[in-house]
Amino acid sequence: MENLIIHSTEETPEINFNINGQLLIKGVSIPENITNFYTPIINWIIALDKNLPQSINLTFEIEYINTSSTRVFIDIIKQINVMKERCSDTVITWNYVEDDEDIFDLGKDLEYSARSAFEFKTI
Amino acid sequence: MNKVRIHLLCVCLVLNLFCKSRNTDTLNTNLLQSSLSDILSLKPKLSNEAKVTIANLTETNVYETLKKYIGLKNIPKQAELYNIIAKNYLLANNSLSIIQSCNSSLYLKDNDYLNLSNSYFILSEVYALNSDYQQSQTYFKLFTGTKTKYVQSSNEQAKLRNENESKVTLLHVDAEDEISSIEKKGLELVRIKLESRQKEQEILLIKQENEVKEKAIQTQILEKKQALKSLELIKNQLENEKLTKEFDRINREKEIKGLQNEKNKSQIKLLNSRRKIDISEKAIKDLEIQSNKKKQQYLLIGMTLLGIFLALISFGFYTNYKQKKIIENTNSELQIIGENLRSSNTKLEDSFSEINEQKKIIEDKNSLIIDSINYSQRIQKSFLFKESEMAGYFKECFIISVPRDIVSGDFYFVTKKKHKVYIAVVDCTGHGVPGALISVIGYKELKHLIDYNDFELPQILNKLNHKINDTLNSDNAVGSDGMDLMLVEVDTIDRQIKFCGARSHCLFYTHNEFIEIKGDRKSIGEKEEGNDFSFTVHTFPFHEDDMLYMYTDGFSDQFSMLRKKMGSKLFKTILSDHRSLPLQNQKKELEDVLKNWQGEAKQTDDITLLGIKL
Repeated sequence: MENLIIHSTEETPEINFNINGQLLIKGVSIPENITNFYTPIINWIIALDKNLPQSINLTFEIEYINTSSTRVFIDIIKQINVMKERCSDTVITWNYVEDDEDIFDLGKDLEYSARSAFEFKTI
Repeated sequence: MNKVRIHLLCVCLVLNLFCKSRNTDTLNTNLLQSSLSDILSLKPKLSNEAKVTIANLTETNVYETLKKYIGLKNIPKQAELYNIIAKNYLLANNSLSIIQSCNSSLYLKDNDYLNLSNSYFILSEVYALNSDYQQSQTYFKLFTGTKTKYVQSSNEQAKLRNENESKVTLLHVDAEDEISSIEKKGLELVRIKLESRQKEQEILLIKQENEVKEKAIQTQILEKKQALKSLELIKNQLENEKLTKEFDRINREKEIKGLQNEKNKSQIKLLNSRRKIDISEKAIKDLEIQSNKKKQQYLLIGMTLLGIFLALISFGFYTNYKQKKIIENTNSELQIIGENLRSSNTKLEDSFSEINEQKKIIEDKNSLIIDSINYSQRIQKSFLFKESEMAGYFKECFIISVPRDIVSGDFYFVTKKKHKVYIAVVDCTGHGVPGALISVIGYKELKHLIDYNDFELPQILNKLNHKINDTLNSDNAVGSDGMDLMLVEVDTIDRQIKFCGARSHCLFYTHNEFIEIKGDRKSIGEKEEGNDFSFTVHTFPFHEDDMLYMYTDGFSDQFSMLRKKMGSKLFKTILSDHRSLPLQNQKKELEDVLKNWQGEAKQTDDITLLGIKL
């Protein structure tokens, strides 16, 4: 298993997934084809479940995402929740610009829908 | 353990004795004495505590019997008892009391020799113990004197007594022998003590002598030191004298040297003046030499200039020749390049024509796609209300609908059922064609749920969720499809307005204030485990001219040219700023604001905004 690094584009976010459990999703997510972009990412996370690291820290630093991306994010978070049962040191961090209440609100929506608990941090 | 045993033995002895004496009414002094001497022989082994207790015991008992004998005026017994008391004190080492009781025994009149000798003996022992050997000796002499007298008298008495009593005398003799042996031992002890004393004194004397000698040696050393110091002082004085003499000599030498220096200075002055004269002569000579040198330099410069000129000319010829060669070479190279260029040009022309062909294919395909999408737009628009159509339901209204990619993933929906008007603004997942496809399903399901049923708002959303999940999310693909929406029910009779939202907000302007109605955090068509998918209803009364703004997030999520997102905060203030304008003016103003904000930036998402005056 190798680290997953995808550079950001105008429509897709930066993906920096390290096998040591440091996972980062950063930027904009409005891909034309959501499945094409996110299937390898979801598969990587499923593979990480079989090579469970000592700790997992999934960090979101979102500028803007569309409604379809929201749903994929829920899937990603749910997958992390599954791992949390065996990897107690699992944290999901939601970074947002201090006065961006939309992104803060989006984090709250995701937290609710994925039945998870985020650490909210201003950047 | 031994000490304790001895202690107990002594106590027993004494007690035994007194018991006997009490029984006989008169104290058996012999017995007492023998037991006391027993105890005294044990004395070194006894602890201090034991000694004191035994002494106390005997003292009290002996005094009682003494009183009896004083009453009977039996002097020998009194003396004997005093001696016993003294011995008893000897046990407790109370020398003062020993001396007192011995004396009281000695002062008794008509005392016999035996008691006297005993008293003297005790006294000599006491003084010996207290290191007063002189007194001890005198008492010892007294003791021996009285003892011999006693022996003589007892011998005389013995002769007078019957031979039958010889056994008794024999016993006496034995006792005397014992006493004499004790006396001898005592004497030896005294002698040894005296000798040790003498030795100590001798040692002291030797020590004193030694000290005196040491002092003498120290004084001698001190005297020597003083002598040395005085010698050093004399030496120092001598050195000082020498130094002063040398100093005088040096001063004299300096004076002589000063005089010599003055002489030298005058000689130097003379020399300097001579040198100056020489220098001026030399300068004159140098000037002559320099004028000659300059002439030579001018000649040299002329020669070198000529040389350089010749070299330049020759170099010019050489470079000219070289350049000609280079030009010839480059010309041939240029010819080759030109040929290459011509060939590549033809290649380029070929590829250009190819690209043009491909471009034509793409353009054709694109126009086909766009045509089909444009036609899709027509279909989509057909089921979306026009402003004019909507106007019949409300006092005033405007619609801003800007699809990002011709067709939209957003849709809005208005329907009237009896006295209730239902309005929905929906943001489907995806945009463009996929978004539009979902919007069609959403529109159909929503319309069906409202028009052909009589559900409350939360029920409508709940059922819509099930329908969408059934149609769109039956597979296990990544993500899911569905919609965020805000559904409003306006009751024209009850004059109240109900809101029910799925991850969607809207603004209600009533009583001169904006109320933001926030829908639930869940969205329609989300893969939802469990049955809890209920929605919250927000109910408000409404008045005429209250404003209702319903929208998808496209407007507020629009980025500017500087990649800055508008954000819902700014969006709400923009709406608030224009709320008092007539709705068509509001629409125009809002469209302008959006255009200015967006500039040349790409549209982020589909935009839908409905403004309704109730």
